[in-house]
Amino acid sequence: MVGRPNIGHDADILSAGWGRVGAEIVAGRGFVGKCRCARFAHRANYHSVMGTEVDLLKHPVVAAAVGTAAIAVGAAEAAYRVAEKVPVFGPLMRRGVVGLSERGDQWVTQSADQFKALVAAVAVGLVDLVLDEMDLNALVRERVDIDALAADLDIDAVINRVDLIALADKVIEGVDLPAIIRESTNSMTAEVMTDVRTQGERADDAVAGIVNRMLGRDRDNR
Amino acid sequence: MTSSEPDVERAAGIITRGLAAIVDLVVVLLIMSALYGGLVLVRLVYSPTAFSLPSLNAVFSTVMTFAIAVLYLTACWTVSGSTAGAVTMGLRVVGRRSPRVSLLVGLLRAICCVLFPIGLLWVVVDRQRRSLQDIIFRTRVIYSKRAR
Repeated sequence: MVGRPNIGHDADILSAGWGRVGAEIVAGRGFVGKCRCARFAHRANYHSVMGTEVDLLKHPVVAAAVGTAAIAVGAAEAAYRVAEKVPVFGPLMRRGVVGLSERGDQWVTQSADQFKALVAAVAVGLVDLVLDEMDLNALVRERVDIDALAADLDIDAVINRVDLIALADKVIEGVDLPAIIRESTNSMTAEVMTDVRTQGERADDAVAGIVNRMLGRDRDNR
Repeated sequence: MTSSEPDVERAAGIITRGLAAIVDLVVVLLIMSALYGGLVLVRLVYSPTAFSLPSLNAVFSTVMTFAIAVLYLTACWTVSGSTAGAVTMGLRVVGRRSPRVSLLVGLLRAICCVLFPIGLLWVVVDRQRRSLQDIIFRTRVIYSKRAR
């Protein structure tokens, strides 16, 4: 919408930045950037938010503002072009502009890294803060269909990657099988022996009781 | 193990003692079979060409069985008071006053038991559950420990 000024290299440097910003605004990228947060915050509102974006672009006030900006930029271009042609002032101004752009370049190259680091630190801190505030587990539980994910998991592939025999060997190594067998056999034998002895003792008593009754003896008298 | 409280040392009855005697008989027969197998092997080793299974002399075998039974019973009673059958059924042979049977008493009791096993049946009618051998040699057969 805002045409690139056709006024030579220096003017191009000056106007390009603003021109880009204006173009981005006109293209609605700024709105999209803002809307993105809202979209993540409320997924359900996604479509309505997108609808608002389109409506805003078509709004007459926005169109008028953009038109005004375009006229202002165009006027600035024209003024610059005229000023450039003034005999003494023109070259001076051009030099001043060149000096300004050089300083700008220098500043950008010098502080770009610092600026990046700062932005990164701020972003990391911001993300940390947001993550601290959010209960991610609850969020995942609410938003992610874990059952569906689990259903899609290829368990066979996982099992194929595991050396089951080695795993089983390790498990068996950890289990003292001979001791278990020994213990169970011992306890079983002991139980059987105790049982046999108990039964024998009872049988003895039963026989003694029968004989005592047959002989007409009192059992406690023996 | 050798607690001598009278109520703990209950005299064993006919069923347990009879079963113990059967187990002991099986043990003696196993010993005889092992001896016979050993004899056969020795004969095979010394005269492999003229080998034939030794014929069983009834008298000799019976005498040998008796002798082995007497030896086995004597050794077990005097050493531990329990034969294999007695261990299985949880029994122990003790003297009237002491927890062990002397060698002489053990030997004589073993001979009596082997020659006159029917004496065991007196346990049924005796008030103190004594066999004839017990009465003669003043021994007792008790439960080595209470099952419960």
